[in-house]
Amino acid sequence: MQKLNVSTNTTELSREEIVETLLVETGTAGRLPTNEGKLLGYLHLEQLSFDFAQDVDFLARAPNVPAKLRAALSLNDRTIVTHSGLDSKRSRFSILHEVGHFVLPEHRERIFADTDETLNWRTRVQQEREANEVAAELIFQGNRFTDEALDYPLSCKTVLNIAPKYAASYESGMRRYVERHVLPCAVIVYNKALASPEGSDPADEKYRIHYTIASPAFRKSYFSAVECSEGFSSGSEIHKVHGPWNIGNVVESELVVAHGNKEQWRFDTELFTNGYKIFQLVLRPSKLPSP
Amino acid sequence: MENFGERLRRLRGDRSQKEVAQGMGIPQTTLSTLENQQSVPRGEVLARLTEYFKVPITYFYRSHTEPLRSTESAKQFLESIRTEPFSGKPTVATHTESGEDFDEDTKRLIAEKIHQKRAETQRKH
Repeated sequence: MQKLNVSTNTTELSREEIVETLLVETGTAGRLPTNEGKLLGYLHLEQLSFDFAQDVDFLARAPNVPAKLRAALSLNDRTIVTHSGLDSKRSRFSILHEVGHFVLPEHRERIFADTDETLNWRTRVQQEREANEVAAELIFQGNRFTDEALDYPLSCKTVLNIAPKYAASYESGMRRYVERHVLPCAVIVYNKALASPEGSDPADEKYRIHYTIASPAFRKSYFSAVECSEGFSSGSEIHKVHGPWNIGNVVESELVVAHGNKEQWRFDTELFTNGYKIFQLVLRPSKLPSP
Repeated sequence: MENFGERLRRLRGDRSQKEVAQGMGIPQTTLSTLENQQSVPRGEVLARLTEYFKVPITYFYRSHTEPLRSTESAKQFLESIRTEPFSGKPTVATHTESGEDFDEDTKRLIAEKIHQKRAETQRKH
């Protein structure tokens, strides 16, 4: 009888396959929220936390230093370090982002290759995106969050209710919700245009469009992103949910999006804030008023 | 998990059955029957629903009962990286708020700092 052995060709392994296997092998699959300590223990990784601004003081003197280092992974020491100033949800996401670099074969080969060649910009952006996707896959346990959300109405309230079970931030929950939703929907995310001077009235804060995410079905019928050259000040529609005192409030609103010179779409939307950013969930075309 | 009829009812939103049935070109009684149906219809009816509501067929079928699975190849790969020592140059993968990267010299310095901090932590324990 012919006998063959299973070959491990890492180029054939998909990201989803690695993540699912990691969740299953660590006994974290199906248990919420995902226990990052178990993942680190299984991979024989340690985690440290220190203040990058204080403990890594040479960063301030290094040329072209990118703003705000959140986390770093050293393969030699099998250690992930997170910045101690991060809140628990951001810290968790950063740890799992670094786990992504650790388990993706191509990242191990390219980032930690024994050369002084810096990754080109495109590869770097792609690998950062892939590490973020691993972090999201681990937090939301594959399709589990997406499938669970389908049992509830298409609404911000669904994300506000389900995301805490996964110990996910509202922002990462909202991204995942829309990216994977089978129904047409989109989210427009607004952030503060500029840091307000100390002592200024919070009501005067301006917002601008930060990014848009649309579900696959929405992109086919409408748009994948929107833009606006002006900021959104007090009195604008999105200011209805501005400020930390509005966290958890969901407000209905209408949105008009111009498409070319003549056509425009009108949508029913919902707004909410996480205290820093404002999220506008685009639900469906508005019903036109009866003539 | 919601049944087929409930998922279909959700797609109609606040529109009336009459309005949606007219839009789809089916009798209102058919739509009403579908909205009370447990199982997913087949063939042309399903195709018309997905086309009218612009949703993929999977919208009506997806459930969260499928468990995650491991594969032998991925298990072998994870086993190898769990135990394999790494002896390459000291460097780090970084996660920054802006998504930008550091130059190689700075990354080497960060790796050295991590090494030093880890040693300090181990000494304390």
